[in-house]
Amino acid sequence: MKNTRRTVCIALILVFALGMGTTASAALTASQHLASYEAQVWGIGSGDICIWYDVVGTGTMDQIGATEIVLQQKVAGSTVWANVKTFDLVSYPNMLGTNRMAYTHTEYYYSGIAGYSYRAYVMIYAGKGGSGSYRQFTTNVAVAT
Amino acid sequence: MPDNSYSAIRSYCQFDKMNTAQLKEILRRDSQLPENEDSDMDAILYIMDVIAKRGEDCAEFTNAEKAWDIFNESYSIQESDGKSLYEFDSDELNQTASLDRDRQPNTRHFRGLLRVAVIAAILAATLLIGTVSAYAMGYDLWGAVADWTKDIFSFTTVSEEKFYGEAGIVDALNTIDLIEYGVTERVLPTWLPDGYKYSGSDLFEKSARTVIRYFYTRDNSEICVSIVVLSSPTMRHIEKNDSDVIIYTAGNTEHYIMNNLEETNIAWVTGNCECSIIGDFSIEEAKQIIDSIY
Repeated sequence: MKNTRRTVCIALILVFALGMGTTASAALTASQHLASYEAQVWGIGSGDICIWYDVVGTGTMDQIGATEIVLQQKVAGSTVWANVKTFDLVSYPNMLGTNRMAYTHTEYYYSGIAGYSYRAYVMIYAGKGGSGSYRQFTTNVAVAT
Repeated sequence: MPDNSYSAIRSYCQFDKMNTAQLKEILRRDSQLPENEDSDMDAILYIMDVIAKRGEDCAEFTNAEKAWDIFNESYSIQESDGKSLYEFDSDELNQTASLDRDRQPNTRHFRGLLRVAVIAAILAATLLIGTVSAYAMGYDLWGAVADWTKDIFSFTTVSEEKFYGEAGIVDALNTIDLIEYGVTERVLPTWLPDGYKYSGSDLFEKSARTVIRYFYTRDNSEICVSIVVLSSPTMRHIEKNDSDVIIYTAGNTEHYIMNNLEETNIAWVTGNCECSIIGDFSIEEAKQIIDSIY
């Protein structure tokens, strides 16, 4: 009985600690720089995958777009995602637009394998006057055709 | 030690009269004593000495391979236990007697943790399902946790087919022919707060999305009107603070008005289009902008 009570107490503490964590993270959201954003991947045939994103700022931004895209691949029937390609600003400087309120349709292509699934983590960014906001966006899952 | 009288009088001659099986039973019981009961170490040592002198145990280990097998079976610690063979007290005799007893609390501790984890998982899942279900029904069961879902606004599905009304308003701006891109609904405002002037438009046409944008400026403020023609459900996140979303119905369409720090966002879905108007204007001005669309 004593043990059960102690167990339930510890469990409740864990649950509330989890709740506090999510509440704390909530305070980080509303953005001074970002208004809305979306990213998608889709198959365009021959196993090729296209990555697209669209970012709208709260006004004209010094820089707006994405700072990194990590494309992941999953074999059909598997549950394991593996990173297959990373797009970064060093190799792809056009990932960010300058002096714009919105940056749209910057596309990147990857030669995938038909039947495999693909998704991407896109690090969305908008900045102005030395400060900026980042958000990580996970795309839909697309099957290469 | 179950029988305290032995240690009290320190006379262990009775052990000499017992057979080896009985002595081993005493040792076994001693090893199973609860943690808060101490062993009579003198008696234990005496018994082990008696057993050793009788030499019966030695006979079992004349064959080295057999002895090794017995050791592995009875005493060897599995690697997965994560315990070192040397994590015992310095008293070697105590080690042998209490080996099984040492393992018991670990197992009990692990089971306790497992039980806590299972209960925590069940409670968390129940709360999550309850909160999600309540939200689906329009109730806010647990504001503190639910708030984080309110920080991002998004349309999860685009399912309803809407009536495609007149598109005459499209020509009002005469910059991009929306009908050419499949936009036949009224989506563009004809009124904006005083001082805003049209400053340009963008068009991005791709297979999954066609994005049409109109920009308006007034001093250092901007308003952006976006029309996104969808060929697959939208996943867009719209930033917002924790204030409530205002639902404003006009033209048989629900428009969602929300604040993102100093900015105000209007978002709605009509036909196959996801639309938004973002800028520095008040909630009342947002309603006027919406009314001007229809």
